[in-house]
Order: sequence, then structure tokens, then C-alpha cells
Amino acid sequence: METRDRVSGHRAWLVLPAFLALGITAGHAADQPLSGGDFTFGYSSSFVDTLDPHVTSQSVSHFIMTNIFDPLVYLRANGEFSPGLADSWSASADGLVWTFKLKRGVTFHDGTPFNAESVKFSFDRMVDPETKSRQAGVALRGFYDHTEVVDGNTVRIVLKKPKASFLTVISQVFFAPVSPKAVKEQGGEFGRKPVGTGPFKFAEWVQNQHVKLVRNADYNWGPPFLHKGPAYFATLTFRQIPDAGARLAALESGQVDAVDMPPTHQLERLRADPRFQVKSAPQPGMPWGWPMNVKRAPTDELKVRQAMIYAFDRAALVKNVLQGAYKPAYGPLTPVTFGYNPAVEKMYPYDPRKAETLLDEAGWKKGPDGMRAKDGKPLVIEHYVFYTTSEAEFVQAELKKVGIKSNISLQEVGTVNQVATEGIKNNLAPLPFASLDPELMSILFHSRNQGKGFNWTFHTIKEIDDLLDRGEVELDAKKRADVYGRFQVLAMENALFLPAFVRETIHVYKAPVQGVQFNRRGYDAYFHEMWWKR
Amino acid sequence: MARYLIRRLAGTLFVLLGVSAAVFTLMNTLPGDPATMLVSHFGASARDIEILREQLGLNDPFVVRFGRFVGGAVQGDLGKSFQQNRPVARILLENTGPTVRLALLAVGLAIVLGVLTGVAAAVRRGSWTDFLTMLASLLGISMPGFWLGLMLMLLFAVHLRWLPALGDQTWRGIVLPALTLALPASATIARLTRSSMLEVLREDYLRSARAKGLPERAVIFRHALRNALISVVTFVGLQFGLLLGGSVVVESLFSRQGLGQLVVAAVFARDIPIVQGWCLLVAAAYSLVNLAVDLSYALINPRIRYDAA
Repeated sequence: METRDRVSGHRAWLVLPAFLALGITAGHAADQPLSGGDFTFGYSSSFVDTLDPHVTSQSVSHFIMTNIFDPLVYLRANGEFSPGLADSWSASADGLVWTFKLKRGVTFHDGTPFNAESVKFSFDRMVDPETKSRQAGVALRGFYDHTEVVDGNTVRIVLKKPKASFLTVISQVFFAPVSPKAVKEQGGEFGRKPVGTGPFKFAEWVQNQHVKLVRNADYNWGPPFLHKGPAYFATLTFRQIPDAGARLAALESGQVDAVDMPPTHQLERLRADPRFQVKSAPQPGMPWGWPMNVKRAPTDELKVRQAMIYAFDRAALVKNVLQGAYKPAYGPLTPVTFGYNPAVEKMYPYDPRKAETLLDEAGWKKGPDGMRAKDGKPLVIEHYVFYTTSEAEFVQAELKKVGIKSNISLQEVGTVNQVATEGIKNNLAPLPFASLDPELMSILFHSRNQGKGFNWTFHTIKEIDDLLDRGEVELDAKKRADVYGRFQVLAMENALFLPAFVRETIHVYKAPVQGVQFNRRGYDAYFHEMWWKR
Repeated sequence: MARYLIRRLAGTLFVLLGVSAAVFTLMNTLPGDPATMLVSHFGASARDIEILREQLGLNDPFVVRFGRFVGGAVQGDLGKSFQQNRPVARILLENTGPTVRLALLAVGLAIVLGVLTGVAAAVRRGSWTDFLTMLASLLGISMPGFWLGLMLMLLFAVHLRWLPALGDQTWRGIVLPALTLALPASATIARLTRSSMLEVLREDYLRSARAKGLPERAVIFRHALRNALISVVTFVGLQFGLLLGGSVVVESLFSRQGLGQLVVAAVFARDIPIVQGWCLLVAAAYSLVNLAVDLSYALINPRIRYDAA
């Protein structure tokens, strides 16, 4: 029956121009959000593992869970915090004790009241080894101590050591309170039938196919930057469509109302099509690019690494390979990330001549074929990639122009992970990570995360480690931004990272969908705020 | 017959043990650390990955892990999925129904289409019908399933709008995925049917059947086809196993629930328990379908018996 609602809604939209032509306009009413209708989103990711926020680490799970759960605080797209399930919060001067005053009158979808007990239950659950958490528990580990219930509507979260990103971290739905009753009753099946406080209630999940949610009619505790009251859509369905061609076919044949990640070569056509609207949001964190392995020749030489960055025309990559869908990147952080330092933008202008000079200086001489060698050894870069080779091929062509040969090995993601983690066979491997906080840089650049984990550069620069350690605990925002600003310059001076482009989340919606708004992660949209224009 | 059955079923158990050992070894020698894959959506420190490995039991020696797996499996416990943190047996069960439905429908379609066109081609050997059917079947065999599916989707969903582009649990949703699987299989069946029909059509007993005054239709379908069917049944049996395992492309293209999609995601995520469970399930299904195929020979041709040997 919901399907029929949606179809009639669309028909109404189709005849609207006729009414306008007849002069029977609805006046301002057309801009008033309308309640009702069904909405189906076709998403690209091939798999939702679990909708248990405390267990999963997947972006697509977060995307769906954003509608089922509310965090204690929201981080707005503009970087400001806003009340979520907590009305207000404060931290002790040493940053160790965080007190949250909770909203009253909030209930979980199973009817149990939300209170201080459920917050304590949830945080304790995240760090419980039994939960086998891949994100929430991991992020809290090492600095979370315990949670105290002060009274029914006040909790105190006590930390072992200060954590500058604490509020930012817990603004993610991975850290949202869950219904203790539902967890106790369902045990391991909670992730299949999640119960939260959000604007939509879980309804149905056919694995590898769709997740269906229905509007929570009681919802009136949304964050102040969104409208008060229940969501407009009556139902919300997330449909898994991993194949890009099939995803567009489903959109154009009307089976879904929106999709994410359209093929970039179709963007121009979609933007020009009045049936659709293209929306995008930049992602905070690390841009798409390649950590450079300083352990293995020839990227163990600073001048070779610097030459590679000079030789790589990122603006041309964006224009010619990515059809202008993204923007060039200049350092290890994207511009929307806290602490981004625009100084990196001037450090490596596209300058192939400079690249050649650096290589000459380093003793890599050009042979008759235009390729370089030193002491009879050719200058060769081993480049491991997964998923797609188009960016790698572009870099290959750029490097060839200055006399560097590069070999591309297309492997599946687990193999590339392992090769890059060992760092014996590769010089380059792509590693993009989205994250709300520059603290991510510790995972990618701190030397303690080499050999296991995600520092694929293998540098031994102590100053970088020290800066990253300070960034994690510095509570003064100004000083903290300076720490990460210095880190970015240092990382680029040492040419540890070959930046490529800043990714954006791209969604295509049918034209009558109103109220599209992304969150700070750039990945999630607030479906609570959207409605069908008729 | 009973002795034959018991022998075959016992053999199946050995097959399953061998499959488990092989899959277990392969999955554990595959590059890529399951714990790293689990956190690779957001990254984690080296220490956190180590703790996750410990929690998942990945730091135990190979023999201990294999023993744990086999010990559990004989009790019907296939372990817990790394990704979903739920029992593997339960996850497989949820995904088996849709895949089996799809495979059954595809096999049914393939048999009907393949046998009819194969018979038609054989009976009118050398005619235009024969030539065109065989040309079409050659195309059908050579077309990649992925491409065929996308073409069917563009034609029937985007242009004609007769059927949904995405498969779901309704009959309309299953048509395109089933056709995508059935068309290449039916092409092979058509060629097989044609060639074995041509052999059978030369036999003397058909001449006597005609001489008795039987109508041509009965001669073809009751006498000739019945004998020609043995090789087709063997092929269909093999094909059914393939369909169970090979629904991967079709399920992900049409975004249908099922074992194919499940196992692909599991391989990429190094969700070892799921991959092991799936291999056991497919191996068991294969063995049982093969047994059913062997038994069906006796039904098709009563001269075939199993106890004599």
C-alpha cells in the first residue's frame, strides 16, 4: 500500500505544472513541508553487517543507523555542537570528567524510558570485550574509565586521560545509547532488530536486499537545527544496489527515489536532467592519496618522493579522470577537517621541471629512452591498487614524463592491505580514510602503528610522533589546531604522502525531494528533514 | 538400493571433511588479516587490531582453530560470523531460501526452453529452425551473465517498464534474475538435447514404434526423448550445483538476498566462518544433487539398477 501512496504522490507532482499554467497556484503552500509518502534510497555499499551501533564500523551501517538512533550530542555540518539526547554538557578543567544533562520525556522505540541508566549501560557495553566492537569500543579503549549515574537525568563519564576529540567522537551514532531492555532480551540478535530513540523505527531487514524503517510518531526530541516533531516520510527503505549501472537503472525506472555514488561520467547528464537533483558534501579526514613507503627504495630518498609530488598534476587528474566531481588535495587532511592548514596548498605546485632537477640532483640520470637510472639500476615505483586503476594509471603517466617507471599491481583489498602493512614489496598503495577529527592522523602517521595497523609510511621522525601525541590530549582548540597545522607541514616537507583529491559524497535525488541536508561526516543525510513536494 | 545409498552418504561425509580442511587452509593462507579488514572502514591502531585478533580467537595456533571448527561443525555449530557476530548456521539458513528458489526456477526455465528448442532442432535437422536455434544457443553460451543481466534490465525495466530492475521476493522480481541464469544454461541444454536426440532418432526401436502406428508426437516425446534425456539430466544436476554457487553475479546485480552475495562479501571481508560454512553447505548440496541425479537414471531408464554392482 505504501508503494501506491508513493506512485500517486508522483502523479500529483507531474500534473502540478498544469495547475500552475491554469493559474490555480497553491501560493505559499507549495513550500510547506508535507507529511507522508514512502522513500527508497539505493545505496552502493555491498553489505550491511549489523545495525548494532556499538559493534559495527561500517559507514553504510552508520548511514542507516543515523535514522534509528540519536547521539548524546550532534555535530552540525558547520562544525558546531548541538544538543542531542543531552540538553547540555560540561567538562572538568582537566578534561577528565564529562557531565551530561539528559533530555526528559524521551522513550526508546520499545517504550522503555531513556535515562542516565541507559547511557551508562550503553557505554559499558561498548567497551565490554564480549561486544567485540570494531569502532565504538576501539575508540574508547585506553582512555575511557567508567560512567556514573548522578541522578535519573544526569550522567558523568570519567576518563583516564584527557581526550581532545571526546565530544566529536561520541557525536557519531556508533556511540548512541541503545535500549538496555532490548539488548538483554535479544542478545546477539540486537543488531538485526535495533531499538533506539531516533526519528525512524526499525521495521524489516532482508539481508543483502533492504532495510525498512517506519516513522516514529512520538519523536519530538530532534536536535534544534532540524524541525521539531516526527519525520515527514512515513517509511524509509534502504535498498542495496552495489552495481553502479543497476543503481542508475533503478533510479531512472522509478524503483528507488535516490542513489549514492553515481558513476562520475554520468554526473553531467544527471545534473542536466530536470527529473533529478545532484547533492554533494565534502568528506572530512584524509583525502584520496598514497602514503609513501620510506622503507623501500627508491621512495626511501626524499628527493624522489618530492619529485613525485611535483610531477603529479592533481588539477588535471580531477578534470580529466574524475570529470570535475572532486577537488584536488594538497596534504594529509581535507579542507573541511578541524585543524586543516591551507599552507600545504603552496608547498608543491605542479612543476615537472623542478621534479626533473630534484631527480638529477639525487643522481637518477635520464637514459636514451627518457627513463632514469642510477648505477645501472632503473628508477621503478611499485604501486599496489585495489578496486580501480584509473587514478594509478594517471599517476603512472605523470611519473613517466619525468623519467620514473611505475608498475601497477591490481589486487583485492585484503592483499593490498597486507602488502602495504608489511611495506616490503610496495612504494605506493592508496589509503583514504574519512574521519571527523584529525586524531585519525595518529593511526596513519604515528610510528607505533607500523608493521601492524595503518601507518604505511614507515617513517622514524620523532617530531611527528610528538605532535600527534600532543594533538590527542590538547584541550585548547587554538593550540590544538596549531599542532595539527605544524604536523601537516612537516608531513609534506618529508613528502610522506602523495595527495590526490578530496572525495565528496554524491547523492542523486528525484527532483521533488525537498530538505536534503548532510551531516558533518558528509556521508549521512538527515532523512528526518526530507519530504515529498507534490 | 539401500546399501548403495548408505555408501554414497558415507562418502559425502568424507567429502565434507576434505572440503573443510581445504577451505580452512586456503582461507587462513590468504593474504589479508580478518581483524584489519573489520576495522578497515575507519582505521584502528596497531594495538587495537591486536586486541580484536585476540577476541576473535585468531591468535590461536592453526591446529587449535581447525579442531574448534570441526568439533563445532559435527554438533551443528558453524561458529559465529566475524562481521555480524551471529551464528553462521542461522545466517546461512536465512539466505538459502531465496537462492534455492531462484536456482529452482532458473533450472525449470532452462529445462523447458532448452529441451523444447533442442527437440525442435533435432527433428527438423538441417532446416532454418535448426540453424537459428543453434546460432541462438551459441550466443547464449558465449554471453557473460553479468552483461546479459544488465541488457535484460535495460530492456525490460528501463525501456519497457514491464518488470522491476531489482529482484525482490515477489514473482515479478524473480523473473529477470531467473532468466539471466536460465538463458545460458538452456543454450547448453538445447545443444545437448539436439545431439543426443539425433543419435536416438536413428535407432531401430523408433522405426518399430512408428510402424506400430504411434502418432509422431508420442514417438518423439515418449520414446526418443526419454532415452535422450540421460545426458541432459546429468548436465542439469551439475548445473544446479553451479547455480547454487554461481548465483553470485546475478544476486549482486539484481540486489537479491541470497548465498551468492553473502559469500562474496564474506570473502572480501575475510569473514572466515561464513566462507567455511558456505563451502560446507554447497559441497553437501552438490553431493546430494549428484546422488539424486544418479538415482533418477533408474527412473528414466528402468534397465539401470544399483544393487547389482
